[in-house]
Amino acid sequence: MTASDAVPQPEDLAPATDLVERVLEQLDRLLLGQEELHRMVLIGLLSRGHMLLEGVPGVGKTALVKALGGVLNLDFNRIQFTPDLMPGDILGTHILQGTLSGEREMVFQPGPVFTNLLLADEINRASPKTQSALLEAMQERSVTLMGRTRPLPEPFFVLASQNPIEMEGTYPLPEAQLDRFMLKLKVEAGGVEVLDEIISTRRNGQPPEPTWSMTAEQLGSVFAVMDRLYLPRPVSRYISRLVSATHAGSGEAPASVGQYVAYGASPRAGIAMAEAGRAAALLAGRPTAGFEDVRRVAPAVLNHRIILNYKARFDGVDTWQVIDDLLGSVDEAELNLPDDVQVGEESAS
Amino acid sequence: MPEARGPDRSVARLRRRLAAVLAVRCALQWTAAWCFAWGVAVLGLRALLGVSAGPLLWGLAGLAPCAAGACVLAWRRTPSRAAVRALVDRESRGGGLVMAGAEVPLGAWATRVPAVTVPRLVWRKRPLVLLACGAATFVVLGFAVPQRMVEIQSAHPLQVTDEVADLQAQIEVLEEEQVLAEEEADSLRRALKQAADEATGEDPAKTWEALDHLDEAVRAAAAEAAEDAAVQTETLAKAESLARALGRDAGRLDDEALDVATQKLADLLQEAAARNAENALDAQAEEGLQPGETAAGTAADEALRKHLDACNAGRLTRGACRAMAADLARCRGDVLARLMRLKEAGLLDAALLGRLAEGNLEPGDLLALLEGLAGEDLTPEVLIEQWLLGGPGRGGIDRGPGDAPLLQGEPASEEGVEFKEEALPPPKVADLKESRLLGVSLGAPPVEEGEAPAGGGVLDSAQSGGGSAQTHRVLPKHRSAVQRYFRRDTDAASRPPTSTERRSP
Repeated sequence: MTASDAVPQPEDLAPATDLVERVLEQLDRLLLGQEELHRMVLIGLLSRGHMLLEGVPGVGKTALVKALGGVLNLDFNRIQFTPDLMPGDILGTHILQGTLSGEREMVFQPGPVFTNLLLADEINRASPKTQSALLEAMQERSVTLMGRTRPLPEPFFVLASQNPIEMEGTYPLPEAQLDRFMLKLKVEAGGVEVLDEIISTRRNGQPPEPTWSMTAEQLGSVFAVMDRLYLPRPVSRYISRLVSATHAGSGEAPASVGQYVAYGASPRAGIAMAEAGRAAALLAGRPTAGFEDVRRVAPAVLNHRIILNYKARFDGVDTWQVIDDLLGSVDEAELNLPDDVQVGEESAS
Repeated sequence: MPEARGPDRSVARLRRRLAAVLAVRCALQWTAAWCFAWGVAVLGLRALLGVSAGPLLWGLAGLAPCAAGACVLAWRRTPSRAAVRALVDRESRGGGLVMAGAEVPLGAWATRVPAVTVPRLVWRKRPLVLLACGAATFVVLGFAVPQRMVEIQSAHPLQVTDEVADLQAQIEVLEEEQVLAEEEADSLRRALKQAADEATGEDPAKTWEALDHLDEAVRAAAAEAAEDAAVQTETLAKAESLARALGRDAGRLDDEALDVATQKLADLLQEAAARNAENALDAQAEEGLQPGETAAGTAADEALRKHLDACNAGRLTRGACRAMAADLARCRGDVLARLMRLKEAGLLDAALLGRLAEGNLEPGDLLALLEGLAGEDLTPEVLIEQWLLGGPGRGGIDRGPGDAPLLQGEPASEEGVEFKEEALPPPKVADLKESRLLGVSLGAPPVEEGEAPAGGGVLDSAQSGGGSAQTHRVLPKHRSAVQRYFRRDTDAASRPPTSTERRSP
């Protein structure tokens, strides 16, 4: 194996990193005060994962997706989920249509899912039946209707949003569907400075048009580089230990996991964490994923996959606190040193 | 892979340091554990089997296997090279490049690996070092503790604390009163301490015998002191009585009696002074004084010598005699006070002390005695001697102790005195043997006239008032005493005799 086969060399990595940085630059320009969210969304996109955005109305979820579609030059559709939304409203349906010869035939009318970037707004307001219509699309990236499977456009991303405060009349997403979201990101409003800048520079809050957009070829090249990023074995083992430690029976599980976690993360979480870690390394301009990349993406990957018990609800503990304990207790290097022997500050090189 | 050479060195160096720290840590743990076990074994073997320290020092050889085993275990516990490399990558913020360098060729990225830093190892060794030092100290103490302190005491200790404390106090009193010399007291104390230390419930007889022996020794010393004190008290009491009598009747005694009394007083003073001098010599010897030096507390001796000189010089006046009596009473009081200390310590019988305290002789009027016995053929020496002893003829069951000397007069004649011997009649047991059954009846058996009833036994021939089997006649000279013995005087018998009655002849 040559070095260029093992890891992307600097001359290969640099263009991809530049493209990603330009995307981030455009996003930061379009949507103010959400830099970290932009990076996490980009990590999710580079990992070809779907994302669940959780936040109160008006914080810019839809605007983010629109801006992302514009910068990446991707087809974009938005579905407002309501309780009477039917699966056919999403996937599409067959309609009876007359031909020029006078015959009538069933013609498939594609639904809004047939796009590159799908915004499922307030996904938890639709019935479980409708929510489940997205399962195959999200996992298999295809739609099967009346015995015929139709592939979705490539790339295909679902960015769903849900409102955490208006829970009445909603249908919480089932765990199977939650697990299909690679990242769950919390969207929060910016501070006073950000809001002041939005009010003073944006008329009606309309973001400006992107000054640059990525072509399909450029996006493909970025994905190609992403596929060559290297994940060292200690890092992959660290990911495995992290996922394992989310289960109460694990030897490395911290006390909070044993106390508050009813169900831990699935193996799909480990896969997602590895991909997200690679994407974070690409954003950092490195050909290899390190521990810090995993630690960066771990909360977003794990928080919707860890099911807490009632005791956690009574004690006011949420998944973010459990994940903090998890990251603090699992040693990346797995040295297994005694308690009285620790690795302290760095000494001379 | 050349690009990984730098991190490799750092990883190897950090791994060696980790191994060293873990080895030392493990060695300290094992050494501490071994030292504690060794110390316990040392104390146990010394306590149970009385093993000496020499063989137990072989436990020192156990430290070498401990160190070797600790090193082996530490080496096995040392983190793998990959783990240490991951640690270096994390601490160097390598972003996975350091780790990837050991797995795949990095190509141009090898030159862009961040500067590898070796993290500093922090080992909080103080608790473990203190533990190891404590264990080593424990072993040293295990060897250093005297054998007698590690010997296991009896499961059934003998409680002799009170007895030992009493004996200790008695020895101290005897030493303070100079009854025991310092060496003797120390010897007794050592013996007492040994008996107390060796007191076990397994062999209580040994302890009790030792304590009894010590108690006998202490009481013997006290009794000897009491005997000396009794003699001295008696001498002083006699001298005091004589001095008081001379102070009262000196002018009415004839010259011969006065000379005899003076000489007798001088003899008594000489005797008392000599005994005091003997005690003084003992005190000097105990206090390490030279013979020429004067021991403390000899005021009584000086008073005795002063009065003795006055006696020998014939300078006795009635006033001097009264002063002498007062000094002698004070001397006797000192002796009694000394005995009181012994009594308070439980060394003397209270009755003995009472008798000594009451030994103040009041023999009565010397002048009356001399005049009353003027017709007898007795010399003044005998009379004064009798007077000092309380006067003659004080015998009798209700006249006090018969300690008066028996004055031999003319011997009684046994002429006409005969002892009558009578033989007791033989018992008539033979008649019982020859008896026969005449019949069984609910009524009284008939008495046949022809045959005599069986004899009543040995008392048949005894007569009322006859009493004894042998009688002898009381000599005429003793009859009055016998009659007085059997006299039924209810008034006199219902109350104890007074001191005056006991002393009156």
